[in-house]
Amino acid sequence: MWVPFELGRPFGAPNNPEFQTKVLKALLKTLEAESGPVLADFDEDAPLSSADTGEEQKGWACPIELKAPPPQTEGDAAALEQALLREINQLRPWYELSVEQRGRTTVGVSPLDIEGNARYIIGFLGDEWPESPSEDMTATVALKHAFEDVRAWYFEAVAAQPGRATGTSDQVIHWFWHETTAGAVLQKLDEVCRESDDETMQTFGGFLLLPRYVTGSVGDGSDGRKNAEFGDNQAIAAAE
Amino acid sequence: MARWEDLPQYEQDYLAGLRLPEFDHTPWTPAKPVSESRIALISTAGIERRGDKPYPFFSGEFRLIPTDVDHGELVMSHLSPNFDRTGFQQDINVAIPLDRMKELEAEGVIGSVANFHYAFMGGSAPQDMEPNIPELAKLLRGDEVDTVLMCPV
Repeated sequence: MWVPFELGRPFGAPNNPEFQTKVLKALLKTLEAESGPVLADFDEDAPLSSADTGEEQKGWACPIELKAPPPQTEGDAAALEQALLREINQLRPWYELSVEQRGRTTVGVSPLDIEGNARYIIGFLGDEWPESPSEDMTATVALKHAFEDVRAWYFEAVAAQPGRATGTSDQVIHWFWHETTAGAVLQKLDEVCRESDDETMQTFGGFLLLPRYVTGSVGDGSDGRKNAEFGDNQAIAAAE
Repeated sequence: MARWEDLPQYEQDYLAGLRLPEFDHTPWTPAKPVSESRIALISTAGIERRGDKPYPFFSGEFRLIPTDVDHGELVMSHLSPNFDRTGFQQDINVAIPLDRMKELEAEGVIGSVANFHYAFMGGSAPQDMEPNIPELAKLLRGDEVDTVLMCPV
């Protein structure tokens, strides 16, 4: 069944059980077909959230007034580490508020805590790269998971700020990649990965780190970048 | 996925350049009535339980998701940076609607919800997933599943 929703939201709208059920029932309806293949259209946009409609958030307020400094984008690894840890400390009340509000967190792919993940990522901007913190994963997979946890931590933190609730992800993604030190550090990490002689680091930098939103790449390899969804194309190419 | 006209140019260019497979035949199996079916969900969102062995890059492995899993246990480590996570962070049901399935079971709309559901890393190549499919089929049969709903992220 084709749905017109943002990638990442196949059932349309978070915290909207009625709409999710509507999508699910439409999907179940396809099972009644007597022959196939079946391609059904679900031609209804996901409803707007309170963030989209401007409805004021109620019930939560951070106890501290934060004035975030501009992101630090230049400097050596030590300076960037200090700036990144400072930024994390400033966001921490919002992250804790988010966890309290939602009753859960999606942070925790990496075995490291947020500061550990920040330091681990910064370690790859220096001359001697850190070893994997876990026997279960290579250093590059650990780096990927450190990145995922930092991104999730920031996304969850900012969602708790007044006026920042995530109706769609556009504003959050822009904020993370263009207004935070974390985003600047990860864009530097992308440069390190792509200049590396290590094939898995090249893969990480070329495929898996920066979204197309940041790179603008079509991912055909002409600019050294391919797509994280490369597997499907690879399979088809191998079959031809 | 989003409407074509809502996608930025780079995303349209990427999608327009995708190569699509051609199939020699179209398998078809009539489904049991939904009200009599035991149904499992399969997500391609790279969902896992916190503490699971991490998916290797471009892995064809799958991870299990119990129906009654604590939502706080679920994390997402899909390798693609190109889709939204904020919806899943707010509510897992926007990616894998476990609560909605339980409600449909209680209402009698579906026969029952399987005890276990599964997640793959959707950016991986299908031929890398294929070796794991017999094991998955065995698990689904063991759970007496009639129908699987694919939930692409």
